[in-house]
Amino acid sequence: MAMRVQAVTSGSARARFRLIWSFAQRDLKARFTATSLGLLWTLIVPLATVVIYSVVFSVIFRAQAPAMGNGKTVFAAWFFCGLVTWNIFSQISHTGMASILNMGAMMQKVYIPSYVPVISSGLSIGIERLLEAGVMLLVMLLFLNIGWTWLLYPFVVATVAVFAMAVGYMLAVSIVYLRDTGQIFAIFTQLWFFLTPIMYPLDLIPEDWHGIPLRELFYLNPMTSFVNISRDLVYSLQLPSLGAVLYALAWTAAALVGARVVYLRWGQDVSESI
Amino acid sequence: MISGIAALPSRRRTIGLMVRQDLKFLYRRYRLGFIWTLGEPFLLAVLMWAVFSFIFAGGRGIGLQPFIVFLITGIYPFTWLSQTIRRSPRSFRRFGDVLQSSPLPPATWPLRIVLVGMFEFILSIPIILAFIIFGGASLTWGTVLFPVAMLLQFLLCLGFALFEAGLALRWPDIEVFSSILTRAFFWGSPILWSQKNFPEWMKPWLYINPFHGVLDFYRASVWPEVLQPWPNYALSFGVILIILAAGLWMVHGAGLNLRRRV
Repeated sequence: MAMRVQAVTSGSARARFRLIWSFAQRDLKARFTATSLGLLWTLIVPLATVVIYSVVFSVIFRAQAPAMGNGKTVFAAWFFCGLVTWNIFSQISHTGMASILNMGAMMQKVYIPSYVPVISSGLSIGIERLLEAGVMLLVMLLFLNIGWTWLLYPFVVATVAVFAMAVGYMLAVSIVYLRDTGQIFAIFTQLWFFLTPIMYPLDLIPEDWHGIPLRELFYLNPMTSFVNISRDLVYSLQLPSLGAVLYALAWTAAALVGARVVYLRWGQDVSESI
Repeated sequence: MISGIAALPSRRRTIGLMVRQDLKFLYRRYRLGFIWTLGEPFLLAVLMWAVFSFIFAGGRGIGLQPFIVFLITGIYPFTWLSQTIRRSPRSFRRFGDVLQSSPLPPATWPLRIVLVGMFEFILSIPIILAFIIFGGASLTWGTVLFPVAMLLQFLLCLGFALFEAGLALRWPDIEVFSSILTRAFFWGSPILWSQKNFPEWMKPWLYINPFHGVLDFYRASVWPEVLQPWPNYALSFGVILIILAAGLWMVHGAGLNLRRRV
């Protein structure tokens, strides 16, 4: 690791990638060796979440899911599909936010570009979430809900991950200067979760509320696009609308530009402020 | 087993100092300090009110009215429980060095976590009262049950804290499992929903969840009609005692050489 850290100061892109990858591997190992069930927790936690939410929302709130591509209606599968996309975003951005502080001691001793911890933590979480996505596809397979549109799903996962890493980077730099950022983002994420149609279909939102086009406002949320695109491809087995795809890509591009601006303005000497 | 916890009252001064130190440590990093303690559950309640009264409850009524008061009286007690469940697995490992050399009983460390949560909850009582007064509700005779609810929640939290802290030394996975447990308690307890939507035959079974009985006692301050026949509460409180006994056994009676293991 020490040699790799030294190599990165020389600035070669390959050395940086190797450093990022070795940090990601270290994160993965640390997470899985600390517990006896290790990797299994990656599957147990989301499955337990799906069971809890499905029981509560289908029994108590009587929420109804739209039909699958094969005509069946399974609330748990529909919810799981949205939850996987949300988890990719939520966990990558949250872990990314804390990553610079977590690596603070090392960053104060040797020069490590501030985006390295964010990308490496994003990669390690991304690998974990891929397993969860795999289980979700297995669930769809159990209901015989398979289609060629699945082939496009990895592109959605990759785009959500990039979007989350860019958001996570902006937050990671911000939290160095203001620790309250963590609390603010935790509350904001809860709000965001409920304002994204993960456990309820958008049909439940009135189109018009006191003259305000309410449902349209829900579409402005970038996570609505990501969740809807994922469900179109995996659950409904249809192509998403071009508008939704372009909108999701535009948000990802905007987040990357934002992260680049933050890096140039505050991110290069962040280790001095940790 | 009991002697370990019976020694705690004589150490109350030391424990009080430790709790004060924990509170300082928790909030010194944040500019807004204690405001987060009260602000986070408050914002969560307002958010839930907005989302659930608008999206799900329109006409169907999942909770009691006024819904915002219903939520506030559920979310603040839940915050105490959830923070205890989430923080407890680390309590022995975090203070390992001190625990090995300290003459204090091991139960002191999980107890600190419970007391920090209780202190934060006590701070939130004026907010709960403000919501009751300005939210269109009023206090009833059931308010006398509020301190009883606090005592029962204290015992429940202490049981969980001891159990998780002891278990974490043998099975570190409990830290991950605690996130599932917290979620199960949030959605499986009548925080957002009331039992009025359940058939009569099912209601007694809901009280296997010990937090259900505790929440009823808090909510009786505003809605005395939530109170159910006493056998339901006997079930909830029986479960609380079982959890407390399991916690004490885990820390003091399981043949676990705690100080060596830490």
